[in-house]
Amino acid sequence: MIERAIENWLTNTTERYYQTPFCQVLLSEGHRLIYRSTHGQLEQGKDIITIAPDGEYFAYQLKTGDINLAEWRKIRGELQELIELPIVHPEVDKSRVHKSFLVTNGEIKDPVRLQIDQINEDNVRKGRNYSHLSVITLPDLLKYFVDTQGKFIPSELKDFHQFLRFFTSDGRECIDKDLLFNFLNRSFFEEEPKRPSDAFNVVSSSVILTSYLLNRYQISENHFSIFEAWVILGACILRYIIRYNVEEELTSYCSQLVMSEIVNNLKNLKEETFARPDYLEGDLLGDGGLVYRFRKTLVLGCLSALELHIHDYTEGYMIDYRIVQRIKEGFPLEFSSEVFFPYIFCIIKLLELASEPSLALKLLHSVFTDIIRNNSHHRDFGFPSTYYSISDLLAAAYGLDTRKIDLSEFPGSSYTLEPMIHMLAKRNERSILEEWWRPLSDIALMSFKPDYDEDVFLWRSNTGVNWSKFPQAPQSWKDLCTLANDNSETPAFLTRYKAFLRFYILVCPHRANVMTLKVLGS
Amino acid sequence: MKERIRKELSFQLEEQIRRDPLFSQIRRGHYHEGDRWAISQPDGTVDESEFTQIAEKYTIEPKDVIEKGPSAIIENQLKLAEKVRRKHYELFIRKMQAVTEKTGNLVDAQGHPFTPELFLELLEKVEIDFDDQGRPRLPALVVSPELATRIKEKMPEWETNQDYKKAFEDLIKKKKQQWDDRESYRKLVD
Repeated sequence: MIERAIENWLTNTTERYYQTPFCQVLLSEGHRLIYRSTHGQLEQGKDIITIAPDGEYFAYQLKTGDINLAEWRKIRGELQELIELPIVHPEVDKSRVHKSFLVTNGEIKDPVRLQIDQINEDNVRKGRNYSHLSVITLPDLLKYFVDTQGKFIPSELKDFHQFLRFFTSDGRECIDKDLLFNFLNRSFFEEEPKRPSDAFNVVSSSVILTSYLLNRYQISENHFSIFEAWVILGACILRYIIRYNVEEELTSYCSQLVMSEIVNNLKNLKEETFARPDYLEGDLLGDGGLVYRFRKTLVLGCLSALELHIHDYTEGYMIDYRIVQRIKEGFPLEFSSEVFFPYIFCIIKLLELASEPSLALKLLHSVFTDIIRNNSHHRDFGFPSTYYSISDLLAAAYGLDTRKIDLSEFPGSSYTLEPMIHMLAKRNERSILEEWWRPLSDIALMSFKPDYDEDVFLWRSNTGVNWSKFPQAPQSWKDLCTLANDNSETPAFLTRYKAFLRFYILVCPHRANVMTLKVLGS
Repeated sequence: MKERIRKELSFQLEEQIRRDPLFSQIRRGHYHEGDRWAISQPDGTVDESEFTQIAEKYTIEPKDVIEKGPSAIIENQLKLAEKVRRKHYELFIRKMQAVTEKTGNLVDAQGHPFTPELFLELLEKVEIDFDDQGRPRLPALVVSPELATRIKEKMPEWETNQDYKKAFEDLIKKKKQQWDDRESYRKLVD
């Protein structure tokens, strides 16, 4: 059954989506990945370059569907580059010839195979120092994926049912985060690895399974949900590494693959955003109004996180000012629930980076005063906490499910007020804090601390303390500034995973607390 | 369908408990993870506690289910809600007793009847907040139903008692002053 599911995914997907699991297969075979193209940009005809365990160089070009003569004529130029141009990479000896592969998730028709044979023979006959071109087609790919998946297939009926729920889902909806965390953790990450290779196999298999689990979302080009799913897998892998003290070197390539999927899907989202005049999506029935405002804020928050990430990790990168312009046009942003705060945080950080500090402060002031006004102790209803999803909010607002959220629970407490206070103190915004200290000191500052560090990367931790405290009254400004700028208590593992954390708080907004935001704010 | 009925019954049960005159005045909150909660006090002390489970067993005969369907459960729900409400109540009183013993905010009537003086003594022990118009937000008084009836009967008499009225007004003035002092601390200083 699982083979049928993989085959079904494989025949319907594109090279954009099977590239990551294919890289994972190569890693499982002992290859070292030294290059993979991002976002469809070929490097001298090569999508993937690896060094095999015996030191040989391998280059792959990935395609989608059947390759007949017409298709062959279109791609022939790229394939010539693949076999003729040497690999240019600091780790590669240019004098040695690499092995080339044309990979497709369809068939290669006989006339094309014949031409490939002729080209290879001709190159040998004429003594050209070109690479030999081999082909990998659907049956080969299917075997690779099934073999690498190995024993890590959903075996329990419940797991298999959950697998099918994702695999056959509509693909246009938000991903069920609780379900995906549970499914991945149960299927892969529960058991302690006995050997280092166990850990590698577990992580490899999880990457492959996630790729085809997202089949329907890929077909729908639901970049946001695919992004969320890869972040969830990333969180599960990190928790596994910390929990079982797995040597990170072993799984670093897999983690890089996951990270590149996260980034690539946000790049896809960015591309789609700028190809459209507005934020409407799909059927107009049910869109607009709240849904529209929510989506606008989520998209702008995601694009801000992407820009911050690329800026941090690409030397000389210039911020894409189109996003800043979109943010300016998008005002006012949605903040009717604390769940939006991580998105607003990323937008504030991007505005600061883009030399728009007054706009960034205006936004910070606005969410700060909004939360105090709305979650004041004496209000009847307040803004829902970070634990309630966007879908919950919409269902409640439209009367589809009025029982999940009880707005009367929220006055008098906040999960995001404390990080906001720290952000303002760090920015030396004393006057607004002074003005609002009296009403804010009546609001309990909430946070959750799991018993085990690694459980920060769980959707919900069974063990841990739910903390609440009231702001100091009176509060010394000097002490507050010291506290806001003090990173000494920040756990080292959070700093180590800073790049991931920025995306993680968007998917798990309840993890956007003082500690995580200090790491991201530093 | 059964799952929906189960959820609905569970929701109704919670609602019944929340309609209690005492619990309806207490703000409810949800914790979504963890197994403990803790409050960090301004003096640096921490009160930490594990979650307490409140459960009540009830039995329904299969023949009743066959005959009445979900109504068999609904009929029992009122009784069940009352049992669970009592358990909530007992837990609440236990917690309050633990807090008052710890803070010393305890008034022992030593078996004497409830009097206006005792009421003033109780008010003396608690912090009272005031609204924007300076009106006191008086705390809820949790007493037995019998005592509640007696207090209601006596209240008109107490309200016409000039000595009690004066003592009450003085106490509220004092409490307002204390509240003003507390409020004056709620600020950012150097």
